[in-house]
Amino acid sequence: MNLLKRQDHLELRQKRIEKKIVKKVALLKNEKKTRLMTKAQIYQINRKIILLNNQFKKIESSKTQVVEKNIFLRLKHWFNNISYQKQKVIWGLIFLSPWIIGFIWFFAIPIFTTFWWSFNTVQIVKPGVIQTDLVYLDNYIYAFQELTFDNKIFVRVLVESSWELITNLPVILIFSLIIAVLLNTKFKGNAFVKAVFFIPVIFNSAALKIAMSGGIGEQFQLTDPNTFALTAMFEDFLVNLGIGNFIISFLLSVLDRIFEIVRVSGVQILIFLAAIQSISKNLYEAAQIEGATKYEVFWKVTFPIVSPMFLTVIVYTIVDTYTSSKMLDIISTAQKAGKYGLASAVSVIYLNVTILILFIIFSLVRKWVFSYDEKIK
Amino acid sequence: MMKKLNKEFLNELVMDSYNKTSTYVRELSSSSIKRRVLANKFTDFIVNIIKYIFLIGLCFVILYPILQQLAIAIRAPEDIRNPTVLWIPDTFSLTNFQIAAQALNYFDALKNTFFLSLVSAFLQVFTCSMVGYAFARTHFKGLNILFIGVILTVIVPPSTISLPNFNNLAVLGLLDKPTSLFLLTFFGMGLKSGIFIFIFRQFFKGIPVELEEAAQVDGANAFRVFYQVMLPSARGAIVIVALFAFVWQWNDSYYASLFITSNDFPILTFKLSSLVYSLQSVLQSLGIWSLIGSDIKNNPMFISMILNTAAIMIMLPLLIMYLFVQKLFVEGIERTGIVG
Repeated sequence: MNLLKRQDHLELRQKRIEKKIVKKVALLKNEKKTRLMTKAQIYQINRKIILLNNQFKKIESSKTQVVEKNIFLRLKHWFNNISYQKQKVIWGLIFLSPWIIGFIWFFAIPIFTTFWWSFNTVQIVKPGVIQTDLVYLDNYIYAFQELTFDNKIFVRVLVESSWELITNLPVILIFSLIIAVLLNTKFKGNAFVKAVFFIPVIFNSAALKIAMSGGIGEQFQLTDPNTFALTAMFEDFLVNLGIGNFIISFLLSVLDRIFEIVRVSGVQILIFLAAIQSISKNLYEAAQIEGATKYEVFWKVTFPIVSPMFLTVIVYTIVDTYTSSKMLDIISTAQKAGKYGLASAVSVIYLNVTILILFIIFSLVRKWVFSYDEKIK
Repeated sequence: MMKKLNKEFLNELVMDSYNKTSTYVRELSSSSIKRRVLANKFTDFIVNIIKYIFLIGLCFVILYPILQQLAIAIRAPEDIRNPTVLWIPDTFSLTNFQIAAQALNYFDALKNTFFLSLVSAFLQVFTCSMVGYAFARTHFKGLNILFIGVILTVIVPPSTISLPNFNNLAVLGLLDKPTSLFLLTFFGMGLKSGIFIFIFRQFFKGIPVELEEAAQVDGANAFRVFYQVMLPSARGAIVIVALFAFVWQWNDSYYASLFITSNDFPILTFKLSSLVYSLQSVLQSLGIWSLIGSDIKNNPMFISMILNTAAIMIMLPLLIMYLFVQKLFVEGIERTGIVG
């Protein structure tokens, strides 16, 4: 008897319970017949009988276990019996599966291949066949010590492109936020101005740049004589105010690049506009009732709700500056010359620098971003 | 003491309080109201003018290169050396368009690019919405790491992973066909797919969970919940993503030129980048060679003019489509306001 399995124990227990139930029901029915009772007592006894019968039915039904032979039906049965939370997790994984496959096949494997190639010299015999010879850190040493591009050493190009990125970011952020707030108000010609501002989104393409660089190209001169005069006046004004040298040079560089910034911030304006227009009017009305000025309304109502979009805009801006980055020129030149190992090494270095910048910016911005859902963190 | 609480004292108290309040109550005459309203209107007017100047100035900055390109394209080829021709050409001719159309293999390439962009956009919406929904609604421990993976796919410059991908697809024998791009997009690795996944995720996080749970209580399984409850609520996001995917695929000259280089399936951007090399033969075939002579290689202005025209011809269909779709574009974004 001690060697009974768990299943048998369960069966025995169920049989015992069934017997008890049957006895109780018989007892109760007997009582009903023999004794004289009030209506309330009869009602109580009927209730007990019903409850016991339900218990009986439950045990009966749990005895019949569904034994499926088909694997699909078995899976379905198992899936229906696990907890709701786990079911949601499994559905999430099913929806994620195409992306996971694509990530491994088209992203993770190529990245590791590139990383592996940066330690080799690579020759392409024909498409699909690669020949690699291990050279360890030679590619990296060459990049840092001897690589020159356009008469500048590699480290200088790296620092310059990173600096350009970092200084462009806050300017583009603030500028697109201001324009989005302006575009949100009602004025005549609103639709026309919106349409014009979205044009760079469509036309800001690498194809245009290829076209412009194919010849001398009569493109818009960013160093117009008129802008020189304007910036000279502005510079005098700032110097007379007594502001420090660094700030002056920063502001002047911003002004020089205002045209480029306007053309680059199309998508950012769109994202901010979408965020601003998703604020329900109730918040504005409540603020007005409380007596907030327009300045306060902007900083206390609009700004916190738009702040989750900062991350999106930052990521998008960083990605967008890639197409015009000097580092990509280095990589493509190396690739055309056939030095794929060197190109891989440069790519790896550039990638690490960008990830570092992004990580720093993320951790700075994340702290004061407002979000409805704490689970983002 | 009790004498003080007589009527006179009380009267004095009341008169004092009346006098005090009368100094605090402002006299609202109609003229002071008018003055204040006019002052407000004046400042509003000035602010409006500054706003208009600012915005119109920026519009000009944006439109200037396009107008300049158009002006260059309408000129006759003989007008390059003519310094008096700045905006309105001396002789109005469409030769440039002819040359560019021939060099670009225009109508075939247009059809192909349109097909490529359309299917690409559809696939992006399909995959990225599903993946974005999964990222928004699932809660398990490794999810944040996977999301960092999504951001990584956006950050890494395509030139880093292009060569190994090239080899991958060469092994499969899918080069030179648009199927290679469709395969990449279907598995969530299309052009800038990470951004779309991010957008969808943000959108889906903004939709209340109660909506989904109500549908599940009513007995819908997960696919039905996604298809019939979430997607209609995310219409704004779908519009944005579809438009962006279409436009970026149309303008993209890196991915497409890498994987589709044969002449069986010409696409616009690839043709543009190889325009300079094929220009000579095109001119000869059109019979204009005699006009320019043998010094075409020493004539970069001519090449740049043709390149400008070609760029305009690539952008023109997009501009026309934009004019029709623009309302949808702007309204699609505004409609998200109702969802939030």
